[in-house]
Amino acid sequence: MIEKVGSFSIVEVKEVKRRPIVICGVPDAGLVGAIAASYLIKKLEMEEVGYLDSDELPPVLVFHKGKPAMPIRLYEKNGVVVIISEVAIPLSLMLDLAKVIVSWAVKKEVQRIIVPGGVPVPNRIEIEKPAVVGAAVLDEDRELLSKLGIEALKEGFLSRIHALIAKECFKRKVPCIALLAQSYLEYPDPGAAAAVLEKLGGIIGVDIDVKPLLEEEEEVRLKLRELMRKALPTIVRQSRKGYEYTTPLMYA
Amino acid sequence: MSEDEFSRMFERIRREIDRTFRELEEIIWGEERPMFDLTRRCLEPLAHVREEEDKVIVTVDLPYVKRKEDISVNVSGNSLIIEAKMKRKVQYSTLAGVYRDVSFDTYRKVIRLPENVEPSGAVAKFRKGILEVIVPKKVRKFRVKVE
Repeated sequence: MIEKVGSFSIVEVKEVKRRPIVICGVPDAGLVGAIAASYLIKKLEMEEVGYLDSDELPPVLVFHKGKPAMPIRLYEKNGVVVIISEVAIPLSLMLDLAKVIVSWAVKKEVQRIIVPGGVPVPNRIEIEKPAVVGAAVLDEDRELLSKLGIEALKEGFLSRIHALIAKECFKRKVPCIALLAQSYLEYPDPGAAAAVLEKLGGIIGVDIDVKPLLEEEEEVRLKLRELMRKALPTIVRQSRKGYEYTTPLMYA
Repeated sequence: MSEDEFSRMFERIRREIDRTFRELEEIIWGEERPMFDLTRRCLEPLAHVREEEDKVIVTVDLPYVKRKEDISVNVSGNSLIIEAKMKRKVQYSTLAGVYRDVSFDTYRKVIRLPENVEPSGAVAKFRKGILEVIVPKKVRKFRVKVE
């Protein structure tokens, strides 16, 4: 199956089963979503089933264990699909990326889309265990958060890639939760990724042991410096609007 | 001119040339510039500069640096020179796959500060692998009478 929106296409190399839970790990604040997605793929020993591509992406091909791989890939195991990007997505492609993911997910009769990520907080260094909140799109998402004891975002703005995906889901009535941990903005944050993964495990019904991730924290921070630097200009440009820290209108 | 004066002047010119080249590199390479220096055998850490009303806060992420004694922070003109020793060597082949025999155990980062700071008043602390340097600004404050 191939799904195309704007310059983006999703190509299934192996057919993805219907009714998946889709998790999107795109480089964003602290690379939280990308680290969480990458850890999940390794931990669950997921199988590569497809890729996303656009002519406007940086001209790179990734090599893993001697084999070439597309920079944005799809993995699947037991009804869970993880989308992971190893490249920073240019700002101009973000909307098409969100649209193609949701459009493809709708055709797959997706159960729920989950977007893990970070909310940058200036005092992150003081925080031992980052708090996680869930921004739920539909009533059934809010019920799930409540059932799992995950704090729901009640007032505030969602921004960047999480907002784009959640907005598409809202328009198309697709269940969606953005799971956001307090994080660094400009440094890879495996601690925040671990906090998100613990909550994510509850949503997908898998117990995720995050101890190895926390033990490898320094290696992750060292290895992801370059990706963090490349992703940062887009994140900062999107964050400049500062909506995450804005209180919405009271009577709207 | 004495020999000492000549050495100081020479050193100043050398630093100025270094700085100019770094700025040129920044312009030419931008985000594409590799985060390692093969000549000095050091890695470039991620760093962030934030300006507040009365100070500039510089933070630097230093994974694998364990002790504050392994970090040196020097001020040269309006630049902060940060060097730190890692607790282990990092083989770059595992990071980039190209520079097979190159290993690093040091970070080095030169950060240009804004003009209106007092580097001599800088203080630094190192927590959870992140170095924070606070440099006070030359703030001239006076109260305006409200009539």
